Amino acid sequence: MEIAVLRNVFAKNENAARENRRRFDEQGVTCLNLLGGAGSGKTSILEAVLPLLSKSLRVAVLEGDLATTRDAERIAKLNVPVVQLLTDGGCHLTATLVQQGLTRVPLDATDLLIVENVGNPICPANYDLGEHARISVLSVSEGADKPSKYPLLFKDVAMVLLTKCDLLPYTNFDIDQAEADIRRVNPDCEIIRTDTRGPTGIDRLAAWILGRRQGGNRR
Amino acid sequence: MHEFSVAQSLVEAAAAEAARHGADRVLKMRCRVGVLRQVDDWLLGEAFAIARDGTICATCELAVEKAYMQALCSKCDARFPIHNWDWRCPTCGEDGGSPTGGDELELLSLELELPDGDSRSAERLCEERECGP
Repeated sequence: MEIAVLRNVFAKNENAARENRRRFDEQGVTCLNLLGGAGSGKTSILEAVLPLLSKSLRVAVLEGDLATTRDAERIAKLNVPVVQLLTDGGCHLTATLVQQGLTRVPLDATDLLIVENVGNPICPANYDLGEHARISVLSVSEGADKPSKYPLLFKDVAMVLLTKCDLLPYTNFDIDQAEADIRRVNPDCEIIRTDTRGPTGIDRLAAWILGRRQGGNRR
Repeated sequence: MHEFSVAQSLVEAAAAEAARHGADRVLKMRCRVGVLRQVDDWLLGEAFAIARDGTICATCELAVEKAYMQALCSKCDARFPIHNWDWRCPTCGEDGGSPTGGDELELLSLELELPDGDSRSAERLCEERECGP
């Protein structure tokens, strides 16, 4: 016999995400989930913005990676508490994996927790980790067609960072087309053009995060 | 490659429902997957065959229904599915916007084998489900 069910397939992950969010809210922590493909510049963005954020906030980072502690080592050099989450080949973080990482983060001494997801434009976008907002990263060297190929990466995010904009003269990246395609699925998100060498746009990113923090943890 | 995680979640969700109904086996499940989830049909099938092994879903058949992102035409108000990132209305050719859907990931229904002598009907089970938590 057939029965109607209608269940969210990822209910288990979403329950864990809700639990994470409840803990963040209880401890007054703002949590951001940083997503993007491998090599899009997520860690470089953190290296550029963390010193600005650390002036007024107690920041901690959860570093998601398939392998090696290289990214965590880069963050640790900035004297920011960092916990490495290794998925051992798994292509995305889950709310449960973040939950395990949280046992090593002093949440009561943290204002802002940034989770850097595994470098992958597809899978991580499927998993709520309990964050208050998502920031997606797209580098100009990846190609302007990426928003049309991976729309979920740009759909439910508060901000998109276009990175490595200093390379624009050396690429055929159509930045207006990329922005228009992002706006197709997400008309209201912030889009910031950045490069970490200039640096460009990093002040704006820091101001946005501080504003978001002051505005409370609305989603 | 999140297909395995999707397959595992499907098996877990179906097993929980089957247990609630005291079923012996799950014979078939139907699910709806939005194209934005970028779940590959073939990979999902392969992953499902592994994930169901040794569970109450061991012989379960999987039927997947695809769901597309839909746009609303700015001129004639028609709703149309987006294929190949083409946002032009198939009726009037105007640009569409306000996309909805395409991100579904739902278990829709289960076909269960109940123990012999169990007289509960499908309708009854559905009513129980609606009244349940």
